[in-house]
Amino acid sequence: MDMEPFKKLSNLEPTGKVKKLVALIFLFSCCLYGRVAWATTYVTVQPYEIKFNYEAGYSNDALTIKDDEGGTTIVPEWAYNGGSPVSENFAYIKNQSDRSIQVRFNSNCTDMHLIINLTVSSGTGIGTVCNHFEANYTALDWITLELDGNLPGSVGTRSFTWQWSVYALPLDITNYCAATSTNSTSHTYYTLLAAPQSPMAEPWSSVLDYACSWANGQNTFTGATSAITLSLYSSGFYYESTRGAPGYGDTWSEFLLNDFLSDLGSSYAVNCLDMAKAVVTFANAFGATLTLSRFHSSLYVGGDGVGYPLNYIDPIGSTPATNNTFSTPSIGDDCRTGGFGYHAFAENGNNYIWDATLRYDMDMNPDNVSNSNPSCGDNTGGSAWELPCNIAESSYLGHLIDNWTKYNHLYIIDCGDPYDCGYFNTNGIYVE
Amino acid sequence: MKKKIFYVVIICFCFFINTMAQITDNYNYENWNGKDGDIKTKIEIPPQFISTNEMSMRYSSTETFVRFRIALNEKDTLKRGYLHLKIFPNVEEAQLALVEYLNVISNFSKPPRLTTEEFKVGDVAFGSKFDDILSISYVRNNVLVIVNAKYSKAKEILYTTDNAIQKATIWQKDMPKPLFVL
Repeated sequence: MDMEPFKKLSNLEPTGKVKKLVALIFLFSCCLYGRVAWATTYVTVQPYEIKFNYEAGYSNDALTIKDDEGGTTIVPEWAYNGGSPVSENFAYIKNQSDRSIQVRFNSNCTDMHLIINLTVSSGTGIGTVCNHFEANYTALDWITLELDGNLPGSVGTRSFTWQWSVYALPLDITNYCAATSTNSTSHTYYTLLAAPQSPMAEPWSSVLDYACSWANGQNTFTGATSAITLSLYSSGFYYESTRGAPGYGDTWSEFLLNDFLSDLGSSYAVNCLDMAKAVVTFANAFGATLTLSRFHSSLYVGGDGVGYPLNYIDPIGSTPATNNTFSTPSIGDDCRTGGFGYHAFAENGNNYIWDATLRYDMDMNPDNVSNSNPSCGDNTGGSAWELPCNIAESSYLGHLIDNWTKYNHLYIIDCGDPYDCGYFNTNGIYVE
Repeated sequence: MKKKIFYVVIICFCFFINTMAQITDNYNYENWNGKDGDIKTKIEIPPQFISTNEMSMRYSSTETFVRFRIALNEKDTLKRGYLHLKIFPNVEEAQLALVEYLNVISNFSKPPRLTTEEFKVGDVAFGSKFDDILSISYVRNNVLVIVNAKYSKAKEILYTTDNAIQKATIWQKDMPKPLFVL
């Protein structure tokens, strides 16, 4: 091998020409390095905010709901929040499909084309997206995405995680390289049976938390409302047995829902009005159409109004079973004087009733009195309790009211048909 | 013909009885005192009164509807008693709210009207005592007060709240709607 050229090179002294050449090579290298360094800035794309309820109505998107205390819900429901995501719950009606959402992305690049893929990595999702192409996207602009998928067919509160795979092709190809960004977002949503109704036309998330938990898995109004009624009856409240005064509203229509929610699970006094308002409120939150009904006594003795006599009932909570409410003894004979001046419950348009205040006795001797008429009779034991859920109005009144009771040794209350013992009233409910 | 007249009379009688039965009791509202009373605003509930009676204000209270919890006895850690104060834009609405409240709580028996000799509170007051618990509701000016507390404590609560209402500013037309100062 001829080594001469190398020897010549090694003997070279740095002349002005060589210095210039070295400087040029250095500059070229710097430029080349710089060019390569810019070209390897890959585009990153990160979900910044997501709206599930982005327009009025619910034909395309989620329902409008309120926050825990009845205030305005925060929309967007999901936000990146500097790396500590915040997520608000949202709501849909069961079996809805192909919902739309709105999303906007943050990026280290301003303008780009996007190909978005969205898959459910865990939980029960609301839908997916396959190859949604968004041309000329500017970072932080809102995009509407139509999801492919069906919502569950029953009441519930469900969570899921979405995996976002977003391929971004920068418009500035001299400075950015196209790349795929992968991110996850987590969400929780409620599934309702139908559009929510007054007083929960815009249901509170705290109410939906309870309603969707108690009626979890139910896919009919009857089943879901019965589950609500049963849960409310076992919710810790007890019946105010001294006079039947309400605990959560001073008028027929007022319902102090914030206070009720705060006390739920503890042993506070309620009356039938409180519990009827609660059944209507919680059930109508998932789309039932119940109203608050009251059956007032129309019985008079000696010119004074008296309550209608009751069969043996088991009031909510620790209050003892009785057929002689607000009077003594708690289980009386047919000369007892206690009864209801009025009683409130939830009723649907077909006159079927749900009552979370009391269970009534379904055995052969529902008033627990025997051998009466003409005498006051004898107390007997025994009970077969039933919580009234989806009971026809006439049957309900028949089980609740002891409509052949001899009263006060002097009068016989002859309302052979329970309807003759009183009259109905209804009213709306406003919550606060 | 006689039969027809008889049926018509019976039907009319039943209709009358039914109608009468459905009229809610107004507790002689027409004759209540204070109908010409001032409209009060900026009613201050003394902080010392709240702490002395160990009352807990419910966080959901507003400037027009203040609610406190009160222990019914020493063992009542849940504080099942209560004091409700509701302020209305005028006296008439406050008094009608009391009528409605009396009907709502009259499931068993009507609460008797209290004479001024028993409790000198409010323009009109109703209430009763069950065991050692006093349940009283009254209206003073445009304010409805509902108390359910231990007898010994309830009396002080009644007098203090009534005094606070009477001492409060008289509302003028250029003022915001009547409210409590929390």
